[in-house]
Amino acid sequence: MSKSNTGSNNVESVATLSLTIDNQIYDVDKGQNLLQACLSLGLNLPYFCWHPSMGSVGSCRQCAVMQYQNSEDIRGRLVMSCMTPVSEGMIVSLQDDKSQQFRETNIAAIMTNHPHDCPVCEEGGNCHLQDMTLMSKHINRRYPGKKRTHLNQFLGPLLNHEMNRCISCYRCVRFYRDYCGGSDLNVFGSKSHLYFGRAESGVLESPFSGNLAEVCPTGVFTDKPFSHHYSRKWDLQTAPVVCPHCSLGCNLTLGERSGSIRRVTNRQHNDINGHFLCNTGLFGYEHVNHSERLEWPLKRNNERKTTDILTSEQAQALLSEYCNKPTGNCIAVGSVRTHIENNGALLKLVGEAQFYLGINDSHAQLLNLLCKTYNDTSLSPMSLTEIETCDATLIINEDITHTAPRLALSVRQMSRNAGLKQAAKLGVQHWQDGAVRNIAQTTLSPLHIVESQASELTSIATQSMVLHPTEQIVLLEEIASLLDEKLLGTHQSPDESVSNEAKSIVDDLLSAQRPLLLTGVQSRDIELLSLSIQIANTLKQLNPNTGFYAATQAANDLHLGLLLNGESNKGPNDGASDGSRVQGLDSLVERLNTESVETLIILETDLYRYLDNTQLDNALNKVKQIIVIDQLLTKTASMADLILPATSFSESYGCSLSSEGRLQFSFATMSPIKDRLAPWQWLSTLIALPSYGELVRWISAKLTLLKKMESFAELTRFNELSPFRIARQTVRDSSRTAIHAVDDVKESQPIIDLMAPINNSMEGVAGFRQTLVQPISVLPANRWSPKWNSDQGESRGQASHDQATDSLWSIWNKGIKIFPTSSSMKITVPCYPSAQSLASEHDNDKIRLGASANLYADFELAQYSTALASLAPEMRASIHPETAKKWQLAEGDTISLYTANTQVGLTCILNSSQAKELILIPSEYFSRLGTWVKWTRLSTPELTSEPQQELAPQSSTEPMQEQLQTPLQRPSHEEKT
Amino acid sequence: MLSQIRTLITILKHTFTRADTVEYPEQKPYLSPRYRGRIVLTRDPDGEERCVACNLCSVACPVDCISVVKTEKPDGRWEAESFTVNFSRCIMCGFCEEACPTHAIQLTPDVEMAEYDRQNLVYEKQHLLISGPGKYHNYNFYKVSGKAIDGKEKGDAQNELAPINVRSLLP
Repeated sequence: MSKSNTGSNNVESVATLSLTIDNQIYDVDKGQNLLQACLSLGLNLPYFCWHPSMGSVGSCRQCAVMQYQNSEDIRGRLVMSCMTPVSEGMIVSLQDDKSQQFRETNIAAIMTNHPHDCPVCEEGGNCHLQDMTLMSKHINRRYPGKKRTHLNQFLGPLLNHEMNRCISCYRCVRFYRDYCGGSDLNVFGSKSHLYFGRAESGVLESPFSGNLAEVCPTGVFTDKPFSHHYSRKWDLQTAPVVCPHCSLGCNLTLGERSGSIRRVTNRQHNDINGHFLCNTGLFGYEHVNHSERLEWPLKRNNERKTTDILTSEQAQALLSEYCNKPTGNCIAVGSVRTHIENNGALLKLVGEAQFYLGINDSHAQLLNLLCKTYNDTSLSPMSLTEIETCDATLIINEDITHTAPRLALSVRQMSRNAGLKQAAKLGVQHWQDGAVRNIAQTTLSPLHIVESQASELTSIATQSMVLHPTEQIVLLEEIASLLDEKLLGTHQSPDESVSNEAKSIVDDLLSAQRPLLLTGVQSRDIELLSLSIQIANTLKQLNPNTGFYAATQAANDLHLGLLLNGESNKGPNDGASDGSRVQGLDSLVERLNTESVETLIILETDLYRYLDNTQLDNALNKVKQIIVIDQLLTKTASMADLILPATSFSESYGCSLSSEGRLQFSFATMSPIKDRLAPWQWLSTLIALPSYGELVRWISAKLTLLKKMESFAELTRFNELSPFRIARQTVRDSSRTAIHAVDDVKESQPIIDLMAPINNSMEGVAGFRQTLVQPISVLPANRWSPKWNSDQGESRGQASHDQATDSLWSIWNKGIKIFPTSSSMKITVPCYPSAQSLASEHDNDKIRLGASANLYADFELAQYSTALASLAPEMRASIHPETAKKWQLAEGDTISLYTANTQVGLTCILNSSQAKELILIPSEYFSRLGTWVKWTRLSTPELTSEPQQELAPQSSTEPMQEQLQTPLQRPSHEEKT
Repeated sequence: MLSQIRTLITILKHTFTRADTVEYPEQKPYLSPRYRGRIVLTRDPDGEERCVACNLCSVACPVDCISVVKTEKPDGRWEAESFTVNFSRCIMCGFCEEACPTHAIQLTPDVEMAEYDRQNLVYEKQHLLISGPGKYHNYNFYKVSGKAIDGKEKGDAQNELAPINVRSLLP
């Protein structure tokens, strides 16, 4: 291990001091505790209650070390290393007999009540307690007495509870209550009777509850879905991937065993997810193992009314036949849930005019605006870690707890900064968690939320303004004009017309050192977003430290805004035609209705999620051939003439662009099974870009902002550049000669992945050695090092990881931020006709809709996880009680919401914590309906049996049944004409 | 010279001793009960499967010839959904038996396993499972472990106190 920790390029941490540990002199960073220093030096010091993100409380007493007064002191005194700040010239010993004996006795006491159940514990082999017990040399149990026992609770579909295993380190409640702001997990009882659980059995409410499985050093909280398809940690084949759900681009490690994904764990990225993920990220992987995954290319046979399975070659031939028809009018739909390469390949195939984005027009418009802003103005999105350092925040109409959950966790940490500042004044270090919280009490940094429905963050907000979208715009205009006055120096006497809310927001934003503006695309309101950008821009000119973040809606949707920008940059009249250049799904349907289209290629998009079903059925029936490239048999796929099976995020390589503008690379965890191919591979011969490198270079040449993507083309050169390949499997991977023996006793060769630097076997450099062997030290997927079997070992050796960031290869770990950060150009934010003015053109009886987001229901792929789907709320339209009274609606009434071509029926619920004159509906319906609708009462509860129903009249054509056995039933083109 | 004669005498003496080899297969040699031969999976004294699919045998195996897949029975017991031993790879080292925390996997003094087809040397759970407890008669893992299963609730295991009433105010 390196003796000095000079790797961090962080300015504060450059300050180091030297201390003596076991007669060796080390240089460590200032301002940390002794435990953290020892761990980052790679020393083995056991601990339980300390956590790198949650600081120290000194409750477990396991990290005791001997500290000496000076070089003459031979007696020393025991100190808890997690509670001891490092100081210059400090002399400590980890190895001396007394502290070793203390640690052994301490863990013997901790272990007295531990049940004898490691073989049937999901944590076994991945257990911090096992590691620490061995490290403290507590080998034999000496306790002859009886063990105390506890009853377990049901905690929902995500976590198992086994209280007997508890060692009372308090990490779970500190994480759940203090870090995540949850309230339904608590500690009860006293002394050895401590009980960590809920007051009553029930589902844990926090969207971050899944992290308890990793936070708990032993097996009290374990991953329930993982337990259903369990495999020991050492048997999992792992690779570093990027989360495919929300737009934040959190880093994950996927664990695979015999062809199925078994679990997701957090992969630390210091700028994004840190140590924690949200439940959607942790449990939203089941779509990979789903029974509706497509395995073979399928063709609709209209004569025999059957579905034929094709070979890859036949499918390729058919694909090129469909796409290369001379008269052909070939249109393609790109996807938000696929890698950039795949959309790029499709764009190359059909050309810009024929390429449509797999999102609604309104969404595309917002993305376009965001990309333009990031590119042309000095505004660029902050990383989540930077957000945690801000000291005043304004959230504008985005329910981030549900649209970008990990961001909400960062905002919660942001709100602690006022308290940390107070503590720092008194000389208390930030990691002294208990002391800091005592000093801070209820002191929180200012957080103002403008929203249409009270959210989870309301509890830590200074001011939560639940307003109708039109009122929100009025408020934002007030804020903008106040800031403009400040900027231009035309500060007038206090204006009575300006509301107090606006004043207090502006005061807080202006007095902050690092103000932050958070917004998003959830409301689909271009006026709101341009206003937010305008405010952020003004604020940025007043205070260059101003931060901005706009959460988008899917893992990889921001780059679609770039595809649009790429087009408009080339357009003759730039800017003026912005609105008409948007090529989303609504424009697609329009085009399908007006033009005869030969071939429609749909890439990983379920159109039925975005558009009215009848309208879409009619439009699709006009198309001669529909080709769908997708992972799952969605409703859209069932309408196809040719289905090509695509790889999931676990089987393919590729880049994605997070809403932070960070281009990240995701590795394949396993080789594709059956005939699945990455979508770009299906298209590669057609577009004459046969290799990955060529495709990436084409994309980076085509789209100037994605130019940095060409660094990832180096993937193909990995083998030349690094002498060793990296093993995906652990050194202890078991049952190699038995796992397939039932099928064939002869062992087959592991599939060799020539493109990537990682092996589908245990051959190669093991994870823990990667830090020692440059330049491949940047792909640590498997967290293991000698004596540190559990995932907690991650917090050790952090220093050496930081060192790796300097190397050329850090892009594989850290990603690349693509938007310029230092541009000082100032442009006027493009003006769009506001939704409000659009509405005023129409009838007055139109009602404003809002989206009510939910992290378990909104992400398409996550819904295939049964555990998450069971947590999703019922689909309801919620209305303020006063509004309901005015409209003479009662709870349980069914209303029909309709626009010119869309109609949806939903049951009402009353919600007093939302804005008036506003109907909030689930995001999926909101994207179909748009922002303004009419409504009619449909029935009172007695008359309806179904809580919700599709009211659109059934089309004459039935969509294909969702089983492969049944024939595809779309009428052939001949039948229709 | 002298040593050569001594050697001759020693060898000649062997002509009159009993042979150590036996006429296998007509005659079977004695194999002690702890001889390391064919692997079996045993049951606890109550007749339930001992194997809890903890995978320790699998990871201890130096030739990686054991594959275990875990499942959970409705009564809460962990159990092997499948248990495969590839005897064509097995070296009868006994590490699996040593690693087993529940005395489920045991090696027996049976070595007559030869097959013409190598595929037949792949034994699955039904081939491995025997109906008795094998060499260890009394051990029942779930009686010792703190994990609750149907018919053995929390506090019923050996050396356990009754579950704590969290709502009690008594110290």
